Amino acid sequence: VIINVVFCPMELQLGLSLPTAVTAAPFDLNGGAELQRKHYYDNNNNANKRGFDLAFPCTTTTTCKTESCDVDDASDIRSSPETITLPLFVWSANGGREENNLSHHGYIVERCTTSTKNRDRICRCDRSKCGRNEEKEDDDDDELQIVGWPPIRPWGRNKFEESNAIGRNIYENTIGCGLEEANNNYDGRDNNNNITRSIMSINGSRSSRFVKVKMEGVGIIRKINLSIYHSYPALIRSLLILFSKHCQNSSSDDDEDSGKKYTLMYQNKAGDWLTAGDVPWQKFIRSVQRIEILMR
Amino acid sequence: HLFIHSISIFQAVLIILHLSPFGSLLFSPFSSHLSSSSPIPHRERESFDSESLLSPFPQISSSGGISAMDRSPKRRSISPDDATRFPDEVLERVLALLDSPKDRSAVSLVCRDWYSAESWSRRHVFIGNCYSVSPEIVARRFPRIRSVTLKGKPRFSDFNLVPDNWGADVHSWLLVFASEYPFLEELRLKRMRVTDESLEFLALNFPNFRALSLLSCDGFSTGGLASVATHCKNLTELDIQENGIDDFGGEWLSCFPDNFNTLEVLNFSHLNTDVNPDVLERLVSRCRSLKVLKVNRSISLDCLQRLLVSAPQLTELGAGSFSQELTPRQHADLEHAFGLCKNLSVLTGLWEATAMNLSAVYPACSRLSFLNLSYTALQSQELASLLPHCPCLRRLWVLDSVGDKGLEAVGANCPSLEEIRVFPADPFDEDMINAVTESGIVAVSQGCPKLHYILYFCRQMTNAAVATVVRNCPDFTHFRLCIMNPGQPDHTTNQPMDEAFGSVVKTCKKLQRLSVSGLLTDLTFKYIGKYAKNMETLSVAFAGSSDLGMQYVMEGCSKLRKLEIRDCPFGNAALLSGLEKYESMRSLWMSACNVTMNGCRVLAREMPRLNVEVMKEEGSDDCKADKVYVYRTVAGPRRDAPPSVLTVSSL
Repeated sequence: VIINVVFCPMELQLGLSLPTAVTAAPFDLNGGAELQRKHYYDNNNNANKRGFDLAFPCTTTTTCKTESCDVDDASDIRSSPETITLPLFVWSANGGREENNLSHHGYIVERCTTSTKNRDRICRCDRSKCGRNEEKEDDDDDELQIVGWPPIRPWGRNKFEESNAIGRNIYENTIGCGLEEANNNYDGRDNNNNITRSIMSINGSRSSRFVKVKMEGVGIIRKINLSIYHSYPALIRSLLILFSKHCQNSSSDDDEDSGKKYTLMYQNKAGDWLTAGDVPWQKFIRSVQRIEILMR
Repeated sequence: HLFIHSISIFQAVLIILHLSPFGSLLFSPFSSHLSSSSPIPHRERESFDSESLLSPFPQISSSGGISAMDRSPKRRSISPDDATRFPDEVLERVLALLDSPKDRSAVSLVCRDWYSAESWSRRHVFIGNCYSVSPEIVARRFPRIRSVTLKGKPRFSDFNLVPDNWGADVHSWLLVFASEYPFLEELRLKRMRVTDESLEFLALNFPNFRALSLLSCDGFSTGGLASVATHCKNLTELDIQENGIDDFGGEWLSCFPDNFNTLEVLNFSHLNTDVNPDVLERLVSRCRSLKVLKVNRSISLDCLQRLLVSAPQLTELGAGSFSQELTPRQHADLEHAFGLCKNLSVLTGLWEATAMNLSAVYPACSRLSFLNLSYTALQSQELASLLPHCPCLRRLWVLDSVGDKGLEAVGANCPSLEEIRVFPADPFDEDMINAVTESGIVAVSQGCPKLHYILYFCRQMTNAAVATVVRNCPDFTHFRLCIMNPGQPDHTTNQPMDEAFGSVVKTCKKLQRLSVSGLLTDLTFKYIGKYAKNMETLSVAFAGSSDLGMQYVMEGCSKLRKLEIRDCPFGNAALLSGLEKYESMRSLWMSACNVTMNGCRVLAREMPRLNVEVMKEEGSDDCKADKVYVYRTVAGPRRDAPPSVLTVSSL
């Protein structure tokens, strides 16, 4: 995992305010908040930078990403209810999403994960001093979210999952390029019709599990809902569809064995990057945070 | 001398108006609503009741001397003008035909006779802010109410900016209604707190109760719905929309008695758990007057097909999940069932509809006036295939997955379109490649000259595009543009979006509601203050450069009723610039601005008939007023405020 500190916590405590906004909530390091961190994809695969939170001692209420820490599951983190005073809006479909995404200058959010809902606290700091990196990284992620923005009612609204389009694509299209398939520790489902049927009959899938997927060399990050898949091959197929136009070689006729090979990597809750396929699907689903497709 | 029995009541009313010396006061045309039995949507029932509720009876210099707050009904006044002296009974009969709250407010201000006749003949009261008045005052003012619409929390509570325990509990109202309005028939609540106990109390204490509508409410569960279904013998309407409720299962639907058959409106589209489809089918087949049916996602397409076959008289349908894979036979059956519905004017639901399944609804679309596709992310070609089947479409809600191409199809196929709302399919996905841009909205405006309502979520916009849109459609009454990245400028010129909204307010004289976004300086507000003379609601976020912005609005917008502001650099000077305005407004919301407690104290001191409430965030500066909510009231400070809500007094 590549983690970079994006702002200085001390400045947050001073309550700096934006020109257009006020009320910086003081940043409480021990209040059970897990920081949003910016990730930079480093081509050298330098995964050893220590994150901001690792510089601070672990308590039972803070999230810790070091291997040595006992607290290894972010969902175990509870903040005492008293520290969460604002009812905060997380765009949650039916089960609550794991990630918040909205890049916005200067608005930084602390994240308190509770057992039932995701709650975020808004913290505003001076834009120029917050150190948010101005360079527009295309693989910017883990961005910041403002409470109650965009102004959409959280319930009842369009809960479209991108997976729906993927499902239909699989139904209608054929597979593009070759992809090195992960080791098959999946639940042995038949590759063909069962998968498409399970994707198609989404009928009221209630818990969505969105993760970001990035392909190396591609500027755009996609997002998929993992909860509609039941096995690795299904996931791989849909990823192929998603990135099909980037998979193609310059000679786009041959899309079978020639061409590049890819490896599917995923980042688990501990922040480590692992090869997909090593663990059973159910365990994978529970721990995956984001996915990357690397060229090998 | 008028022979009432030989002329129509309406002619009688007109004659009264002409003869009355105060006839010139009644400038507003009568509404065409003749019956009060059809449910009027929240949006259309604009409130002027608060004026007649709150303003003391004016000193009209007319005959007989009129005292303020005369509440004794049925007393003949001594009026020298014969023409206005009608027996109360006649006057009440005539005035009972008035439905529009505006007209009723105007009527009640004419003279004492008319005031009391109007108050005795009023059957419906609309209260836009439940804390502006107390239930006792309402009951005294209007003794014979049968239908109540109540709105509670500020609108920003929809976006989680208001604490959960803020208030707006309906129970205290129900207690008063039980004794004062035992014959209450209809209750429509928006953003109120409703508990299961309240629902049970409602079901048990009002024997004539017929219609319940809950929109954006919270605090109850399906248990409360079960009480209503069990005890309300004459229920005609059960409309549960977009509420934060605890869904414990679908058994509530089974609580309707077996001989119950009066339902006309049933909407449970946003409940999550399964209801028993057999129970639903039996209920629908025995309710022959059912006109509105909106089911939730648990209802399969097979069940929907059977429901349509047994209820082809439906005028509004909310379909359930539409993603199920159908065999050709099933598809044909569904299509046939839709074909039976000749009266459908509203179609919604259609969760996650696939292109294939969507074609089954075509036969029902010929008279469709409102199509809500915001629960399914259609692609542009799917929308383009569907729209030609809906020639009469007046209102369309879609997701931005249809893209600009989809909106071009809208412009090409919907010449009668009056309202369009485009919601973001994925508000937090910046990588969304098919989202709508400024071209989409321009395309719609080119093809739909009758457009007067727009709500548009987008990620980029230009000043020129907005100017083009309002040039094509100058009749906008509601213009709500949300550029989702706060403070974003015109993406081609990098200028602020001031000129965009300037063109809106300059061109659209009838503008009633405006929501602004993007990078905006005080110039936007200068334009608004100067030109938006009919604007009643303004929503502002992440905009403005100084106090001047808000001052322009407060000084210039004479008809302003609701102002909601978040994250703007407006401070005490701005707040206090509206000092004289707030009593003519319903409410003001300011959050994350530069207002301090001192400013609030000054406001409270100068304007004692306002409630100035501050919601403090934990740990914030003591002198900052994080969230300010100001509203006029005749009921005094709230007595039920939670600890986090402070009513600022002048002390």
